[in-house]
Amino acid sequence: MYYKLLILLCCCAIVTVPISSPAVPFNQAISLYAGYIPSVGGNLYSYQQDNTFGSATGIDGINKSLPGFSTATIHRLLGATAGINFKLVISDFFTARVGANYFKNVWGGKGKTVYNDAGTDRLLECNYSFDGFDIPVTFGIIIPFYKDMKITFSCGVAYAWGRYKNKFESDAPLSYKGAFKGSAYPLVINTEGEYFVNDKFAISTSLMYYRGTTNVIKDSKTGDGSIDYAPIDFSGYRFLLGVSYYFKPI
Amino acid sequence: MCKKAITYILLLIFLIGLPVSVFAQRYFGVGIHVGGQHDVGDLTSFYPDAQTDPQNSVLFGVAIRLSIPFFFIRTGGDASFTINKGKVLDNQATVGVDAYNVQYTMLPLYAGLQFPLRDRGAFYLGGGVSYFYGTGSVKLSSGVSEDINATAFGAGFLAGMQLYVTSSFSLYMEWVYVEARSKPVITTTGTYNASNYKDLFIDYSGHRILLGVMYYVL
Repeated sequence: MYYKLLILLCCCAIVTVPISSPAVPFNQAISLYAGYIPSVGGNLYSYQQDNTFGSATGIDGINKSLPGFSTATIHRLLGATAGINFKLVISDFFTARVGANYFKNVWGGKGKTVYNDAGTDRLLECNYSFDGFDIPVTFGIIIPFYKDMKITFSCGVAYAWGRYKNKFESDAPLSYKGAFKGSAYPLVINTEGEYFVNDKFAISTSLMYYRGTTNVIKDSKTGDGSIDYAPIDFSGYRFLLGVSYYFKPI
Repeated sequence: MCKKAITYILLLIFLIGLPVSVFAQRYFGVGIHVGGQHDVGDLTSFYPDAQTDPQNSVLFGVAIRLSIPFFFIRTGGDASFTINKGKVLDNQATVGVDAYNVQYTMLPLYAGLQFPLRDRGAFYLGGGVSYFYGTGSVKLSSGVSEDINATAFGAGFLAGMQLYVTSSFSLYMEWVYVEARSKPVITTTGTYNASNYKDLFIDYSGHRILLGVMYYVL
């Protein structure tokens, strides 16, 4: 609750401070960007994967094979992300930023493995998905190089909401379905480089690191007769490419 | 005589000046580097409670770099050599693994933006993929050693700095992070794998630091 209030206050301050303090040399910018997350959702651990299918490391450990079974490797999720960022630049060297990002898995998370069903080996079809959004608020420093470049390092916290779903089906017949929704406040670190094509437009690239998970969440899908528990993991790296528009010439 | 001298002087200026002016563009470079990776084949992604002495490896590689003022493509090849093998220190009968030694060849392909710092150097940041071919061995808890033969494909990023030493040579330092795991390649012999499935995959994920010298051909 305090984190949510703090993020909201920071967002308001970043947007309104330049209007209320016209004497201070402020600049503002809007960035649009897109990129990818190499391992969105982390290892996607859940209780039933450990208890029923023998994987203590979620999607990593679920992969098993046995002669006579046509298995297909289940890879960690590769996520795509896109977002918008409002930047406040103070005296050319300091920055405060608020953003909004959407992310979703676009590759991986599907395949077949084997598991032991009370002494019988069975083929298991697995399906994982992950999506969500986050609102990062960061503060940092800018190192301008000459007139055409800026390198920025900033850190802060984000409000992140995520939705993780998994589905496990075999010919037992068995179907475990899990759906987990929740929010957390992960730590955010951002390194960004901007190359100015003129005095107002820049192309940019960023490397962001998020670190944080929710508490363990109870499965909201009850129709399959099983209850699962899992945390939602927002941790991981994000690589982004984008464009920025500065309201005043740099 | 005078014309001949002028011709020779102009030719000399051209020969000296051409490489400098061309190399200063730094379009195409070839580099060699040395680096390292900690916790190669991270066994805790297979068994989270494994108490391990992680494997450390040294990397030797070649970098090929194409660049225009603010965009670059980086490829090449890296080979890892083991400094110390990974060991499971406790509860091997459950984990099913006593020791492991993973060596790999990595083929990276990354692209991104670079930020030239006038003629002194550049900072760059790119995303891309890496292909891995790994060999080595795993000593199982049963005492048997099994050879590794595992490929994987993964996504990651690369961040680096270059310091231009001369118009054609530069020093570079890179941080490469990749997420990549193979399919299961070995049947472990611990109680964790009571059903005798092929379950041990090779985890190539992790951070790598590289330090090298690049020569710009163009």
